[in-house]
Amino acid sequence: MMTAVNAPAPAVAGGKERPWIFHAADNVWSALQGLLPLIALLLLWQMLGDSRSPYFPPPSTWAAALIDRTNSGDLIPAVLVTLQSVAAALILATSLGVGIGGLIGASPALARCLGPTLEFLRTLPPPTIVPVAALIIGVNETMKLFVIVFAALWPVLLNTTLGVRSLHPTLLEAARSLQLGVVARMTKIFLPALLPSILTGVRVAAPLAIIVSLLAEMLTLMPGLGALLLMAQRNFNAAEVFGLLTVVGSFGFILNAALAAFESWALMPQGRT
Amino acid sequence: MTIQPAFQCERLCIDLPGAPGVRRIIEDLDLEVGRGQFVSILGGSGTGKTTLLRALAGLTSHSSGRAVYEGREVRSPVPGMAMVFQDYAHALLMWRTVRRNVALGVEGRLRNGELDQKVQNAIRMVGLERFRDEYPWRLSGGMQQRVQIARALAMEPSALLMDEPFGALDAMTKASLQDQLLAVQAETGATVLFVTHDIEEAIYLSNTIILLKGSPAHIARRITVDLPRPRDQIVTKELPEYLRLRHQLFEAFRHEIHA
Ligand SMILES: Nc1ncnc2c1ncn2[C@@H]1O[C@H](COP(=O)(O)OP(=O)(O)OP(=O)(O)O)[C@@H](O)[C@H]1O
Ligand SMILES: [Mg+2]
Repeated sequence: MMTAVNAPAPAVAGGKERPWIFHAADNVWSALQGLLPLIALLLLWQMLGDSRSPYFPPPSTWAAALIDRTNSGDLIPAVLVTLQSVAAALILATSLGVGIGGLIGASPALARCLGPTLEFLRTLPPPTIVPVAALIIGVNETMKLFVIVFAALWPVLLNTTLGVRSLHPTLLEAARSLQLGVVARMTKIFLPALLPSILTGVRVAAPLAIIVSLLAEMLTLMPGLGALLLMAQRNFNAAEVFGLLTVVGSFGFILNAALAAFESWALMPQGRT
Repeated sequence: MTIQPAFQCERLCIDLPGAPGVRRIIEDLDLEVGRGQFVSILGGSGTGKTTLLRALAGLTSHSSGRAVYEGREVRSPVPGMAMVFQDYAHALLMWRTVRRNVALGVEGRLRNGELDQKVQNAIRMVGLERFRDEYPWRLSGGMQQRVQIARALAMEPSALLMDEPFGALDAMTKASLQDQLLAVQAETGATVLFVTHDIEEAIYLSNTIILLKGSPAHIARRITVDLPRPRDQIVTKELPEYLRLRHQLFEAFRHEIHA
């Protein structure tokens, strides 16, 4: 039995901490504070706007239009379809991006082989992919998923590659000298160490996924928020267009807040939040 | 029949890539370390202490000669050896608590009860019982280094390879960890290879001190430390033999310091 020459400081282990949920609530609150100018603008619009204006109907008419759309059974399914596409594509893009990015980061040879090709594919604007994908795959959910993944993949892939390259050599050597197997090294060391990089990539990818999802829906009129928006525009229903725009905005806002909360929670043990 | 040594190097040469091509870092090095010995590797900055230790740990490959551990050629990390890195902040997993960091090297191989007991024991040996559920980034540098040592101890290694483990610590913490290390070695009987550039630390801890010199490096001196154990920070350092060794080693390094 042995003790330190200098006595250790009073134990802090097990002490009460602010749970991560408070961090998340803080995030939401500060985001809402940031929305105050927008809310003020909308209120002003409501007070000064003319409810018969064909181009700039005030917010109360947007709400009425949205309620109409909800009652006709269009809005909720459209939101769900878009949400489903975005979520599925983000999960797929993250898995692919982490896999490919990890391999490229780990192998300079692979980086040399694939680098230029990936660089070329990355610079293709997603809107130009839609017609090509529609031709090859057809106008269906698979095509939509493909196009969204194609756009959302790059931020995750690049961040993972950079993350792997900046892993500290000592960490890699520690993993080697502890003689962990391949699977244990992946799950216990590499993935947690890369988590901050990966999540940053996902945060960048999420808005891209929404944009491309709406774009694909608008270009192909496949069910979803994008198609609804285009239809409203074609019917010159300005109130509905603005209403749907609000829905799209909130959609992105909530998705981002959810990802931020997840990040706070996931990185809490690393002391990064 | 002779007793098999823990470590053995025969005409060991190590080359590393450098600016003008490969550079020979260590040349024709012969070394034998008996089981249970505490051997310090001492030398100026950049002589190749870390390189030698890494070669013995199987983290760097050698170009010719032999590096042998327990009768077997070392080519990659082998069971029974544990390495402690100088850079504790990057050697620990910041997302795991102390307990789970210490468990890292053994959790795949043991059942829960046995694992808990081994981990507890290792944490006790470095005196961190009260911090076992804390994350490393909330601990001081010295405490983090103790976590890394506990992680190595949990593997119950027969050899402990340490690269300037106390290099980044203040004098007080350093002295305290030196004593803990000596007690742990007495308790476990492990062979220790200890890289340092601190002459007094080398004398205080070791049975044998190896002096690396030159470029490429070779063993310039091999000094046996005949100081009684258990050692004591005050008493041992006042012994005439300690002072004689200290004098001898500083003398050996005088040329290096002024070169
Ligand atoms: N990864 C590496 N690649 C190429 N050369 C290296 C590498 N690491 C070290 N060297 C070279 O090997 C020589 C010995 O380095 P080493 O790290 O073993 O020295 P050291 O004795 O541990 O020094 P210090 O006390 O400063 O840690 C140095 O001259 C260095 O330039
Ligand atoms: Mg070194």
